[in-house]
Amino acid sequence: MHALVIVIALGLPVLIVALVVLLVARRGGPPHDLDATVVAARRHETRISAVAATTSIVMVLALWVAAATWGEPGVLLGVAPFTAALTFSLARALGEARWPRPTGEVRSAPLVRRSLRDQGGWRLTLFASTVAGFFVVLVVFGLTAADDGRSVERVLDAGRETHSAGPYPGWAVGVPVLLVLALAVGATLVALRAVTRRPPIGLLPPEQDDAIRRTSAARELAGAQLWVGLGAAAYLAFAAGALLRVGWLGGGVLCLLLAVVAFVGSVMIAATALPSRRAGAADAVPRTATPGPVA
Amino acid sequence: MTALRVDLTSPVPVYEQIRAQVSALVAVGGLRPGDRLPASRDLARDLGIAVGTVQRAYRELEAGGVVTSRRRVGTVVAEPPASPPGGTEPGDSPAGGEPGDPARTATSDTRGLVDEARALVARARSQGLSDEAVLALIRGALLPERR
Repeated sequence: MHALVIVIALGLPVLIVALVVLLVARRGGPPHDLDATVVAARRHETRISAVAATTSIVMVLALWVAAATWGEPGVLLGVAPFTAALTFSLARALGEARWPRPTGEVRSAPLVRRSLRDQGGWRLTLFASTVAGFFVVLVVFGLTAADDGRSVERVLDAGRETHSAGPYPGWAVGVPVLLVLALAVGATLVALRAVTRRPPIGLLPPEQDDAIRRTSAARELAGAQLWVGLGAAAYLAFAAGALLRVGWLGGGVLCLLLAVVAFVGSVMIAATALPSRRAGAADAVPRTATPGPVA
Repeated sequence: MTALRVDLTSPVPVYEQIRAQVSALVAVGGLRPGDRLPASRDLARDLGIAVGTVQRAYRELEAGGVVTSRRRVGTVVAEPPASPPGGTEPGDSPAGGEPGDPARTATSDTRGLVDEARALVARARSQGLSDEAVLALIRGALLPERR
């Protein structure tokens, strides 16, 4: 069954992401003036974001349907948000590879080094912290779960009474989640690397090209943060429910609080990446005195 | 943000265009000692040219003492020489000097000259002179006077 879960979790993203290449395909020739370049760049960035978001949502829905259809719904639902993060990042990485290559006889490039840390900024630090924190949570739940890896037990009266409650996210769910989480983190880094390494957009001044690059990095990290944060929140919420049912009030309340923080924090952080559209492409690029034709 | 611009149709080889522009940027203080240049592979990708072209430009710059290559750090702008000798030799490129020219980094002593050079360029452009014409003027001024 685990093999089936892994095939679904890994095979479906590949199929979905393959569609991205078709959807984010460039149409028409390269723009020939600044205004047309800005419009084309904004459109391309928006298309990448929309396709990545859509494919990740489709991925989650597909896993929910699979969970309702086949057995082991806990595992499928557990890996769903992290598979969505994986799909999102792969789609973005493919989209970033579709920016136009340098063409023309006169070419320019900024004489600066670009690094993942520079492009990611505080979002990268926060994403790394979220992943590290969730890793600790996974290990703690794995170690505190009962032998079946799906419930938690509390022994009372010197072993004469045992309370058990589930679902509790022990190793049965934790191992597949760890695997998919590692892949999602790797895909996020690949997507960020694609953002950092893509060639400058022709005709755009270096400052504006850098602004679009930072927008792409912000949206990539926002999407990954959102899905990982939502997955962690769901994980913590399930654990809180089981802990409260066996009477571990402190642990249950702590998990519930962490779940709320993970949920609200991730949604808010993802929301802050949306205005990057204006900073990245519209406002940051000066308008020319005589606007040219729109591509 | 400092940027390089290369013209693939120019009779000047692309590696020489890169070398001259980096030298010029160092000369006017656009690049300071310790500044890291992009990796040759990255710059080549950004410009859509061969890696070997950028590597050759970097080698020329290193040979001229403009940059130094360090393992793990990459290519960085070199420290200026402690006591720069007099002037440049006739025929030096006004874009930044030939390899081996030690007096190329903008210091407090040369900053005034940089400002004057910029003022000269602005004045020449306002009078309708092309950049090539400005360069020809400076090359001419660098030639030894006939007695």
